[in-house]
Amino acid sequence: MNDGALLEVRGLAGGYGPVRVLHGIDFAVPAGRIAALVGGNGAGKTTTMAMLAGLLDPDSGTIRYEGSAVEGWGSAQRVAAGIVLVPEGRLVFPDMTVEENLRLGAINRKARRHTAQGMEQVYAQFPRLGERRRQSAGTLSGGEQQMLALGRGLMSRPRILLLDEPSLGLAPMMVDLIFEAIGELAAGGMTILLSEQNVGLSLELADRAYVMENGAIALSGSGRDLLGNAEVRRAYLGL
Amino acid sequence: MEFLLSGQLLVAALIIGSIYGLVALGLNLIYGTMRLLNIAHGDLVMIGAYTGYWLFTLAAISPVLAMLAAGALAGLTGAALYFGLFRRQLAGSQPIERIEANSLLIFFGISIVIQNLTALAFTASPRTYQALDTLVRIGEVSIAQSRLVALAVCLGLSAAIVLFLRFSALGLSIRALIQHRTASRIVGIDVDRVQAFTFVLGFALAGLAGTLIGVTEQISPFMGFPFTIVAFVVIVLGGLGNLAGGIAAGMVLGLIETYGVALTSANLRSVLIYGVFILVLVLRPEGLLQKRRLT
Repeated sequence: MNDGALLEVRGLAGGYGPVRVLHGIDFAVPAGRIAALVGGNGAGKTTTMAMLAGLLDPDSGTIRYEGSAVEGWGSAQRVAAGIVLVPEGRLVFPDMTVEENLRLGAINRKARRHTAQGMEQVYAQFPRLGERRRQSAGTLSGGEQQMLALGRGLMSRPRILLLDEPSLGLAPMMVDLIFEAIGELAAGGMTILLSEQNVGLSLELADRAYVMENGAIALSGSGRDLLGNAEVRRAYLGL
Repeated sequence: MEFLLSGQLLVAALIIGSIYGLVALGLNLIYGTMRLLNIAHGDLVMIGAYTGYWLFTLAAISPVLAMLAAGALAGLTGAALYFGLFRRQLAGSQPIERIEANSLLIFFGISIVIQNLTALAFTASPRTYQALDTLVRIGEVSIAQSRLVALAVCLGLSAAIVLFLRFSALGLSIRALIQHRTASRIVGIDVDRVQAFTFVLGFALAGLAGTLIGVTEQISPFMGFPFTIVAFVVIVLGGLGNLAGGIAAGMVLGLIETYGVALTSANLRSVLIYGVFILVLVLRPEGLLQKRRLT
């Protein structure tokens, strides 16, 4: 057992129909820390995230959260328990307003009574969302949609936030803004699992990191160790 | 020509339009949230019409009360079908297109079973009954009380549902499910619960509308199919899954049908409805009232 792990994954394997994406991966996310899954496109990061969020059933393996096995839990039950995904591609509700999107983040019973308070916090963190609260989400820029997706996730009152490719497709300035927000959340004690193709930025931020290749964990260590690793520098950082 | 401008005709069009809007709303809710093509939708209208007929004939119960019983009966039918048949299909990992195609065949079967069981129980001969038939005069227009009730109930209920969808947490979840199924699961919506509710609501609305329709139209085991067609035309017109648009489209179709028939002949009613259907599919397949979106 990994002491102090909020989320612990062992032997996770599976994929979509006959296509096996994950071939048995192990990793842990310590409470109050940032763990990162880094690697290129197709390494299996998003598949892992989908399994953690209950969107995709694994073929085998265990997912332990706060000590209980959650494989049988539906997605709604996981969100209520505090496992909250901010998905790749953001997946905001395009025809709904910013405010409605945020309300939907707090749709689970536990979070619902904190809706107003949660919204205030999100608007305080991202004033731009406050300015656009009556605008439909589909009219926002990519970076604003990412803020909204993150805000929507926070509305669910997460205990662990699963951030899947938060910087994908964003302008460099927006990437900085989003990573700054992630750093602030971590500083506030939030447990985060970050999946990223932006290996350099993620390793700088991560307390613990796992390099994924072809559905397996190729390397793991502290973010700093991996930043110094010659193989990582050559393959992912172009150094 | 003068009677085309009469209030009488306009009120008739609004009544038909409001009924179409409510019937189609039930179909649209079920299609939007689950992509199920309920080809048996009109048969729920028929069940509602018979409920009204028998409650009035046997127990002298007013259609205004009978419609609640009809809604409950249709809703129960919906619950049985959802939990018995569709829940497992929707929870599985089949692609949504497969579920959509399968549902058409399943509902086709259900429709035939419902129609023939009704024919077996009550014979196939058409029935009518006289209830709420006092004429009400409003200005120069005189309308049967039953039609006025239908107009008020259909408009009131449609408005209530639009408000419910807009402001309640459950309504918000329903709209979310219509827009994005995966995102709905991600935010933690209990998809199964929302689907069950929507399925029952859609059926109940059709049953309830059926009682109102049965007061003014002939009731037979096979009266439902034209309403299925109308409902499909309305939701294509309003944009699939666009609920408020569907209600407006019901009105539009009611106007087209009423004025079209007045200008030509009652025999052309189906031609008009199918004509609108085909025109919309060819010219604006995303629906008249749907804003175009690139996805």
